[in-house]
Amino acid sequence: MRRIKSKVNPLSSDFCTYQHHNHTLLEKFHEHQHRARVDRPERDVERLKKQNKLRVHDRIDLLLDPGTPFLELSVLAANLAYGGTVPSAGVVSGIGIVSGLEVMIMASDSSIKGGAWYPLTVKKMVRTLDIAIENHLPVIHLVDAAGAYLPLQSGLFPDRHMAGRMFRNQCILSAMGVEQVALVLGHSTAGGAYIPTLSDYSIMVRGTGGVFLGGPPLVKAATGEEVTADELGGADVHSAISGTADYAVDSEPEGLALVREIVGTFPGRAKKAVEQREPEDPYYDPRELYGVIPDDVKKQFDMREVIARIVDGSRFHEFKPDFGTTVVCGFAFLYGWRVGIIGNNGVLFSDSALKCTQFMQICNRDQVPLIFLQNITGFMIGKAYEHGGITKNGAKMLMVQSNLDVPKLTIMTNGSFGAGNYAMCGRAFDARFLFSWPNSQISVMGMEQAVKTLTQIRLKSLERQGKILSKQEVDKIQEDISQDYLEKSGAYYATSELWDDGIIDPADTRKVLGICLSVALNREFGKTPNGILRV
Amino acid sequence: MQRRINLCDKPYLVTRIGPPRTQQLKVDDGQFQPVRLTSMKNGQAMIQLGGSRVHVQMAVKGETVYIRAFNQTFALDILNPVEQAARGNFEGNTCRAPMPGTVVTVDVEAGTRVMEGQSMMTIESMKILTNICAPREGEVARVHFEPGSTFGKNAALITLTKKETV
Repeated sequence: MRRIKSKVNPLSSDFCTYQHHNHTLLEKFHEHQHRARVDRPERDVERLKKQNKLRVHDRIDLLLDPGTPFLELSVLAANLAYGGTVPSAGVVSGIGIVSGLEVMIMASDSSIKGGAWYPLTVKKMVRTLDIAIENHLPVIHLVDAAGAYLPLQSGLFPDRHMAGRMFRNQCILSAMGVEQVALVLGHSTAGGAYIPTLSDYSIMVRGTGGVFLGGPPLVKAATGEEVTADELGGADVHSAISGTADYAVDSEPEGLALVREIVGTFPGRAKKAVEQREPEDPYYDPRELYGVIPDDVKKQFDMREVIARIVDGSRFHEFKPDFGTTVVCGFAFLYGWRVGIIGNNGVLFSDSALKCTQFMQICNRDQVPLIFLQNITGFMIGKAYEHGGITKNGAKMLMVQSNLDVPKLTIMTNGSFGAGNYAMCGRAFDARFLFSWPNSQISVMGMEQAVKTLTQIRLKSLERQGKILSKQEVDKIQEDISQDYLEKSGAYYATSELWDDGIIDPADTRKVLGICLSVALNREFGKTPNGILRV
Repeated sequence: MQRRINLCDKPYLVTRIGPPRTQQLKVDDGQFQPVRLTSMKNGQAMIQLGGSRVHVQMAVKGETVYIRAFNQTFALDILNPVEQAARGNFEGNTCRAPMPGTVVTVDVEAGTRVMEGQSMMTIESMKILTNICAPREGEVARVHFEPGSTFGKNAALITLTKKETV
């Protein structure tokens, strides 16, 4: 396989401008991430100390095998919701190694509103368990949550993908033979009581852990019975009397050590038998990506430059290089595993869509996982293209992409607009994982066009009401609309709403994809027998 | 197995045949000779070719192998067979529009000398700004559009003067 020859010149003025721009974005990203993980009001920190509880990241540290990576997911979930008062949506989730096994960790953060579930908390927890199902990852639940946040209960309780889905997912995992261990570190009331109870192994910490359908105040109100939390559903009650839990421990560290011991008894996972070569670092430094990604979402860059900074040895076999040149398709190795890569180099034409379709069929037949690098403004429009069947050919790409058996991983590298988002395996198309770069933007159409359209609609409606606006008022309306559109199409809004699994540093893309690929291979993927259509 | 190599910037065609224990090597049109490589620690190796044997030290950087032998250092590149056989991508002298659009800026005029990869024009199409870059070193013969003008797919945007033949 040939090494990509980079055309990027690290001494050029563009490179330096882009690098400066991206470093600024990255600083902001790291600051956001740090705040979400660490910054908490003093009184909440004090309260945890008084209760003899560890901070959530300290608990996870004690759980993980030392020196192994932890891929935290959706760190900035809810960063633009609830006035920013629920960092990480109040729950930490991520993939790590415990007793030598890849596991999913889902841990409530009781330093935020007692770990209460907001609508986005529930969305994140459901997604976390979906990932466990899709990738056969044993789950460790660190339970310390007050229950639903009542003022917003209608947004988290009854619908198909709301709170009930977590328990449904737990039951599905159980039937699949994917183990779950729960450690109860706080009061786990009402629905929350089911998380440890539906797990295969449940441990409770004496004094702080409690499991009950109704807590002491509710019992008093409903029946008049006066009872302490410990008598009602403490660690000893459930491990010795009711059998709702399996183990009682005296401290959090003891509980976390016991979780490690239990996971240590699980059989190792056989990975999907695919060829693995000796991994090789990329020839080009991934940090050069900061000088490759432009300072404006509209500026074009060559996706091969990105591929060269992700894959083993920067080696890439490009498929059909002279056909449909606005998309790059080809094979590479990532940490020794063979992958197919599809990356955008411009707008999608009929020929580019057909090339992708043909390439995806090959990947599927040969059981090669696919990586989508999105930088797409959409499909080409205009008379000549409609006559050439652009819609029909785009539909072929969607049809094959949606029905792939192989795992798909998606990275939002820059722009993601319109139907291009769908064709390139956007969120709705069940990529096993989807991550965004801090610079990325996502919306149904590009900002300029959308703002123009929205402003026109607003002005028309004001006109109908007989209002005559001055130029300044029109400018103000346009300004407000663009501000709102800009925020809602940015990576921070996307990740806040869990349209992705997190924002990542572009230079970490290789590592993140490596972990995701390793995890994706935990599940067999089938193969629909088919010849390749040269569409 | 046949490989084209560059040894100290001179091209050679190397052919190796035979089962592992009794391999033979031929350089260009020379005679086949028995060859054997015994690897040792730290990039050291013993090479036997025909009747002679020599100790070498090897280090790899990128696509280049550096070999220390006979008190000299030799730089060896293995040429990629596909690249070796490929023709250059850019045959003509004209850069064409990858998609219909509008010219945003023009950075060159007739007579401007350009380097390979230098941006000559920026076009906008479907919300994307694309740089039209020089496919090779040369001189601009003609700029076909001014900023603001629109063009169709495959329209000629910039023509370079014919490549000077040496």
